[in-house]
Amino acid sequence: MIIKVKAFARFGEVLGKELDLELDSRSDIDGMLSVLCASRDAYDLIFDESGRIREYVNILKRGRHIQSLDGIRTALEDGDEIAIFPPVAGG
Amino acid sequence: MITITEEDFNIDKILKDAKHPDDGAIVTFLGIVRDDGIAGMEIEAYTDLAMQELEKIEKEALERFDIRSLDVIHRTGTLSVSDNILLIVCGAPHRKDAFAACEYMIDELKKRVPVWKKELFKDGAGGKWVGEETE
Repeated sequence: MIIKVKAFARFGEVLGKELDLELDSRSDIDGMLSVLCASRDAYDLIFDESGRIREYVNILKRGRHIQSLDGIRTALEDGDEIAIFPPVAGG
Repeated sequence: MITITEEDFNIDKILKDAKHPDDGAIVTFLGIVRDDGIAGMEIEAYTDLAMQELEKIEKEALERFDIRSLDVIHRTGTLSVSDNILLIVCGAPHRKDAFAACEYMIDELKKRVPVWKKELFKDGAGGKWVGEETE
């Protein structure tokens, strides 16, 4: 399946602003992050020293925060749009 | 009216359009690029979600306060010092609710709306995302 990933602000500079990822059909957010964070810079941006997703990282599936879904075990479907970004700073 | 755009806006026209015979006050908030020793600012938005969130906040403000209208324009793209970033225009029968709703809108926008600002260095060598130091 193919999912679209949109990354914003500094995350966009490190991960790429918009990319299509080809994943196995039963992938979840955890699996997506493994592909997305293959480089050291990307991994360090998203994960802390103990391998947990950093507190300031927001991940949304189709506009819903994964914390309100199944966290990193949130299942992905073909055509999903995933957004990943740091804390907002508009205004 | 909620708008996210790269274009600048005409404040006089927006104020003129906001005027209504039932209103006794229009409160505006204009956010501009401050010269903190920077060349300018780059503003990025997750537009679809930002629009949804702005509309939610607008609805909340209309329910909480006795106001008649609330307009928000947030710019994106590359801006120079003193350029307009954000305009909030709130029309109400009385000033207290107009001020309160305007403040509610900007406070919630800063907390909830997916928009980011990057301060651009004067030497042209990149910039720094606002808020990065707290991450």
